[in-house]
Amino acid sequence: MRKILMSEKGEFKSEGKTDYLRSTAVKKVASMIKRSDKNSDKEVVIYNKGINRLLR
Amino acid sequence: MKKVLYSLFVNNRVISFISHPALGVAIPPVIGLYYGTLDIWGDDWPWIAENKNTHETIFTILASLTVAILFVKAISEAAKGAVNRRYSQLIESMLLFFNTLVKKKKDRFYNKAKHLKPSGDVFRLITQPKDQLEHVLDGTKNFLIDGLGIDTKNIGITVIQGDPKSNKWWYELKCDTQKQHTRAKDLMSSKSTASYCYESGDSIFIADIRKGTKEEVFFESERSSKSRIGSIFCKPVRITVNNLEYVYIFTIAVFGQYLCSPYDEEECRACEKILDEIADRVELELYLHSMKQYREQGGKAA
Repeated sequence: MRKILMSEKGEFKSEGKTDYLRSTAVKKVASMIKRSDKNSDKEVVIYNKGINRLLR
Repeated sequence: MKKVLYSLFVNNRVISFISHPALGVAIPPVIGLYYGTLDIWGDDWPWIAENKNTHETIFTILASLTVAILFVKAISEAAKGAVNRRYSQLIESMLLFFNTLVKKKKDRFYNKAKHLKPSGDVFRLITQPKDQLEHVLDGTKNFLIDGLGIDTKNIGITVIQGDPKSNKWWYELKCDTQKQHTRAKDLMSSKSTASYCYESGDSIFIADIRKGTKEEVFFESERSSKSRIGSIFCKPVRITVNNLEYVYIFTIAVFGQYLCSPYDEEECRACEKILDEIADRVELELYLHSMKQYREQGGKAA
């Protein structure tokens, strides 16, 4: 399993600017990788909280 | 690019609609024909001559729309060009990363194969996983700099190796040997991302380290607390060679900058996917590294 821990909007004081060019480029590259990697069986799970509750 | 400009000229339905190829093919001839008809037969054809006011209004609306659409499309194309240049830059960096890994191996095989002896130890000669791993780590750093625009001083890439039975942990590889890192043992015995990975067996991408600290899956070092913000990716690799387990934690940490916007789920997923691809290359070399260690240490633990 692959895990992603994300912040909720407004959870922390915003620092640093979002680079929309990089953001779009990253999304395009990732979708290209996904298309060529159809056999990947790894599940991706997004967490906003409680990521370590099961573990600790 | 500012969010407002990006939303106005690149990422909205109106832009997608006016940029649609079918519209570009169908509309200009129809409008051209209408303008031509007004100009040439305007005084002769009764349906135009008797409704001049209506046609004047239609003409004004169409002419204004044409100018406005051409203006918006021109800006949109320029903005899309900037996005495409960034995309090409990212793809080039990624291909360069993968290609140099292959080239490094190919060159070594080519040079070693020339001097192989029938009784020689081919595996020992051609398999240089540590050398290859150092190259992968350097390549990853270059990819982050050139492809994702991360500042070189903000990057930390490491491979921790350990013997869980004796609770020994050490840095098997560091991208920058000059940089001071928190002791591997301290990381593995605290609520760190690396120890979380090891315990859960799953890779994890934390887009904002502040969230990691809050959720107790990130250990705040002196460096990370100074930087305040950052992102971290960790992947555990467990390799069993003839009942002997080799354990590694591959980490990419960026302090002072984000690898992606921490609130954008799509971007977080995309960024994690790219980092996972890189980690797969590292994992492959770690397999060879483990097998070589196993052989060199006569089947004893690392």
